[in-house]
Amino acid sequence: MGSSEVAVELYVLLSAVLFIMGAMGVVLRRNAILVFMSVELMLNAANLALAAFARQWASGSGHLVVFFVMTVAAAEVAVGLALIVTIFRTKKSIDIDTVHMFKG
Amino acid sequence: MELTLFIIVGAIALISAALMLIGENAVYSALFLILNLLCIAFLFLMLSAPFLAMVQITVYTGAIMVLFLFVIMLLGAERIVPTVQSRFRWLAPAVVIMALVFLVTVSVALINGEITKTEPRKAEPQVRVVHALDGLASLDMYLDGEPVAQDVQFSAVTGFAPWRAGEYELTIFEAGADPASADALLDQPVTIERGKAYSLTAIGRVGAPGARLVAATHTLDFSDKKDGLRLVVVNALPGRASVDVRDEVYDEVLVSALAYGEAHEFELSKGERDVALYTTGSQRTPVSELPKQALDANTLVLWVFAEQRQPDNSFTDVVISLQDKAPTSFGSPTHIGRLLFTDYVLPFELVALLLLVAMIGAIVLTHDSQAPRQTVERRLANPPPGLEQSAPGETGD
Amino acid sequence: MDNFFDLVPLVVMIPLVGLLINLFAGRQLGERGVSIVAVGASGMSFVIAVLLWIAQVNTGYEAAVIDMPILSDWIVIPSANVTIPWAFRVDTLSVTMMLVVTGVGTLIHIYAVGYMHGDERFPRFFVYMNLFLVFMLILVTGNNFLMMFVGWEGVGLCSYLLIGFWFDKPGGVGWKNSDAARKALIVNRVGDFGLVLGVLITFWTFGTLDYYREGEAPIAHHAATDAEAPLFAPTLPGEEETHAVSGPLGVFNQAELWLEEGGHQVNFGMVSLSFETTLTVITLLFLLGVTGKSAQIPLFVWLPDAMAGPTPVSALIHAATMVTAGVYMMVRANVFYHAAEFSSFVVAVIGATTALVAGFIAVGQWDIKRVLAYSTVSQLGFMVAAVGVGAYAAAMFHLVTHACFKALLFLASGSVIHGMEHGHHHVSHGHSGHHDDDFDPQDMRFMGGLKERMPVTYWTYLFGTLALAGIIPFAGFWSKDEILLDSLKTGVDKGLLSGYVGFVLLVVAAAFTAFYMWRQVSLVFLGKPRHAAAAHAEESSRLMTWPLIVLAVLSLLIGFINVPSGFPILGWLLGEHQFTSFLEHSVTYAHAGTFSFLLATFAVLLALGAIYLARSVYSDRVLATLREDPLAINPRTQRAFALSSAKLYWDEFYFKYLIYPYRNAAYWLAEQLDWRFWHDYVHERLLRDPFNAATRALSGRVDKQVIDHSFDGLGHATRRIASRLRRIQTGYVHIYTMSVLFGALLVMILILLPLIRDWLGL
Repeated sequence: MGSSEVAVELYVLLSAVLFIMGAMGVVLRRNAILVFMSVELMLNAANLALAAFARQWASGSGHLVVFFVMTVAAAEVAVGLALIVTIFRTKKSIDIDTVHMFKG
Repeated sequence: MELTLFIIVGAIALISAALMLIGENAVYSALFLILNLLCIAFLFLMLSAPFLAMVQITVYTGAIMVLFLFVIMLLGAERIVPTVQSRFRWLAPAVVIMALVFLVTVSVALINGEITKTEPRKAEPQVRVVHALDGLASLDMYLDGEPVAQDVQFSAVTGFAPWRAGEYELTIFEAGADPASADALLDQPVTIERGKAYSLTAIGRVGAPGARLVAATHTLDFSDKKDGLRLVVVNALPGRASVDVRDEVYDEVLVSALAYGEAHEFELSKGERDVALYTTGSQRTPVSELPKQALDANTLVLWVFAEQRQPDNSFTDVVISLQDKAPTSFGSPTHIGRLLFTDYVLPFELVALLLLVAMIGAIVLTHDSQAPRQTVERRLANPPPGLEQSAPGETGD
Repeated sequence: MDNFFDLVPLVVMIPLVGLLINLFAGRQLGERGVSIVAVGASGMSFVIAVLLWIAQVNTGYEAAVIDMPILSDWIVIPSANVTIPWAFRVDTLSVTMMLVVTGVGTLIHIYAVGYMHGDERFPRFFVYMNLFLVFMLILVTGNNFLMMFVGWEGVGLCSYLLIGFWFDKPGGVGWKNSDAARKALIVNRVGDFGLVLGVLITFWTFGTLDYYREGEAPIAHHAATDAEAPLFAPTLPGEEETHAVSGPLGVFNQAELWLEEGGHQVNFGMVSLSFETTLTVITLLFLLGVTGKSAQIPLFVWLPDAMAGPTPVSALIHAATMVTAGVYMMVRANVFYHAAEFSSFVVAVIGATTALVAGFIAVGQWDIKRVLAYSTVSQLGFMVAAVGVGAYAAAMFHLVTHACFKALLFLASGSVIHGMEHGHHHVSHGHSGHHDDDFDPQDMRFMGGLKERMPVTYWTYLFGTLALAGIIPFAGFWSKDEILLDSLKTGVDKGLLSGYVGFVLLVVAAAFTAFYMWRQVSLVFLGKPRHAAAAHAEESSRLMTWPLIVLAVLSLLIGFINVPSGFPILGWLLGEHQFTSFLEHSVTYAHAGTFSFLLATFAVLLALGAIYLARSVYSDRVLATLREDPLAINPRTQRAFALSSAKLYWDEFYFKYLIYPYRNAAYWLAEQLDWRFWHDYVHERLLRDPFNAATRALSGRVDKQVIDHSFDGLGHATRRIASRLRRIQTGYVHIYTMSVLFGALLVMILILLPLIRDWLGL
């Protein structure tokens, strides 16, 4: 652990930028797979922030949460991709605009 | 140097993320995402989280992204361009505005939040065992009956192990003895605090009155010095009531008048040194010598000056010298594994369960339920026995 | 043989079990099964009664008190030291009653199987009959007044149920039947009121209701004065220890002791009465109960109407057993009556008067069962009068003989009615279309000449008539003669007015008895049939005739159990006053009758004369063209007959002076107090109207306008808002994610608000 480390603010800033980029992807992209990948990007951004803070406060909990987020992400990807496959089967499209049955 | 690296990696991460987002081809997008994830794994490394970096690479860039690519290929969805215009034109500017607000807010928070000024939580205490007790081949050490290290050979030093802060009764036994029934050879109350590492050292000679246990304390704070190192010297020579430690090269007294059974910690700049030990006051013949010690920055150095009685009743000097990196267990697999199985068992189990459910869910979702239904429909479509002549399908005309 | 005493609960239990079987499984068992169960239960009770009798004989007539195995303590009030056990008393009196009830009861059960054949409520009838047996046996076997009262009320209930058994007969008959049932119940209520009061005063006076405690032997005045006789005799010979009697004595022995001491005062709160006065009050109240249950003046009016029930019921309940409960009760309480002379006088006068009045009315009746009903009232009057003159044994003796011959007469009349109905049925079917609504199978005017058609019925009826008329050697002669002699002796020996009054009235009543009975025989059996139904009447089935024959034999022979002392030959042959000796063990003041040749001859000659008179009035010549009673045509007897026929206007008198005034008072109270004041004024004006006004205001203004509108408005608003809001749910993922993001941003800003404020310098 070096004393000439990068300030935690920079990590958090980077993570914030990555996060908002992911969010923009989620909102703006219509390809379901890309939306999904954007979600992954957001998760990673959050992970980065967590890791940075974990180092700042020398706490193992941050690492643990990152670990759990990764696990949950894996589970989410499994189910999400299964959903996409199923939607594609029925709709022959992965444009999420075609899926709006749940309107009020 | 590190900042430069950070800037480069961060820039790559940002660029790859942007390319992922605007990419028309899903496969390229996925590949850019992999690049981005790799950058983040690198950043994890820089954040002294090697385990997370490893998991990031294996799980994310390995498993998850392969799954993405697989699905993209499976569906043939590499190039899917929306054929119709989006119904929500206002989304893009709205999101941009929101992004700006978000970034501004975060920046404000970072600038005004004074994150670095907040006192970091001190690192967890670490302990290790040093065996300098003459006349005992190997020993077992316990803290409140809990084993710290077992079967430690004479003049050996164990690795640091994290321990919980608190007050303990430190005991040593002859190796292999049952702590519940056997009498402890030595015992000593110790206080273990956060932000410190302890070299629990047994010194003296078995059975002799000088035998005792010393908890040599190392400070685990490395933020103040860039090139410094911390050195702990322990006087474990029962015959020398007080010693001086001198640096022969620079001819300076590093430690003066170190009494028997005392440990002294001090800071030193890095460099190569010849160290010698004298009885206090005398400068003629060194009691013990440690020539050509190369001391690196950011290390913990331990010198234990002890002696061993030979069969002919003469004494030989034993110097236990150890230089190791500051205990980097923070973020290491050991550290995380320990936490997983102690404080985070329940979340760990829940996440495991979640994975299992996700697996089953994925199977159920993608399971082709069309086939059995079709057979049912076919069966229903079968005409009753009396109408065999009009086969199904012929009824259409 | 002591063990037989333990069987006494079974006497009650067996009919109970029988009725329960018939109650729950009657429909499934069918007529045959039901009759087997019912008759079997009754018969087994009779067998046990016989066993108890044997046990009595074998143990030297020791009384036994047997606790019921379960429910032995019936009413226990520890604080007042009151225990009323559910205990049975086996002594000669109760055994006599048990034998009569179960014996006659069994015969009547058998008869009823034939009589009720084909009735749609056949099982129910036998359930009621067995229930009657249960209560009657509780009445006679109980060892305390409360058990007797339970039985007393129970038989009243059964009487009510059975009188109204045919409550659904068409043509208003069913209505009349149920009216009769209600009349019986209500009239009995008056009597029972007296009985309850009597029982309560008894309890207040003595602190117990037990006749005798277990291990207590009856003591009499003379026995006590003679002294030496131990107060408590050991009950059971096999037992070494003499039973120490815990607590107070039974009522009768206590009464004897207090009478002996003299001057005992009974405290009734503010009033304190001497013990003798208390006894008079108790006995008079008991007498009120007797006049109800045993149909004496003034409460006899229900019994003739009770003939609306099926004939076996009339025979069992309203002739042989239930109506004699009053006599049993007075005999049981003979210690009281013996001590209360005024009450005894009243009893004698009421009994004798009833005997005469009922005998007089019986002459003017056309209904075959009604004649017998008044005859029953008359004979009960004989028994009550006997109690009044102190002839307790004679009263019981007459009770037993009367049970036999009156049951016989009723059953035979039932057989006649059955035959008439059969004949009528035959006639109606033979001549299609021919149907007369006037026909009544019980009206003697439609009968005549049944002697040929129904010989068994005729002969048995003749036996019953001769027994009732008191012709030697039939049963009635012995018992009636003893009553007459006892009352005369009371008058002559003790100089009591009741004896003379009773004797004169009873002799006249006896003459009337012979007269109306022979009138009935003439009208029913002699002469020629006066109606096609009578001409086609047929003898009843064997199930019905066999009990008649048995009862006829009993009517002839039962009198010999108590041949008076001094009677030539028979007394030596059969032993003198056996029955009285038997009874003496439980009835303290029972005494044997002697024989007076003069009186017996007089009585028999009187009866024969009355029969001759009846035969001459209702000769075959007269009967052939009978439209009106000869007595009604004869100007000398016209008025008397009219009075008799109208039952002395007794019911009319009650209606005019009791029932209508009572009803009018009730109407007035209902109209004025309940309707006008309570309902109209209090409820409507004071309660309902203000409440109505309040509710109207509340419902109109508050509920409809304020609450309803507000909730309607709420509903409409919700609907309108919801229909707007649902547009947010576009179903597009973009919008959802956008909102989530927006929300997250808001939350974040909210959290970081202090920082942002600092930064902005606010």
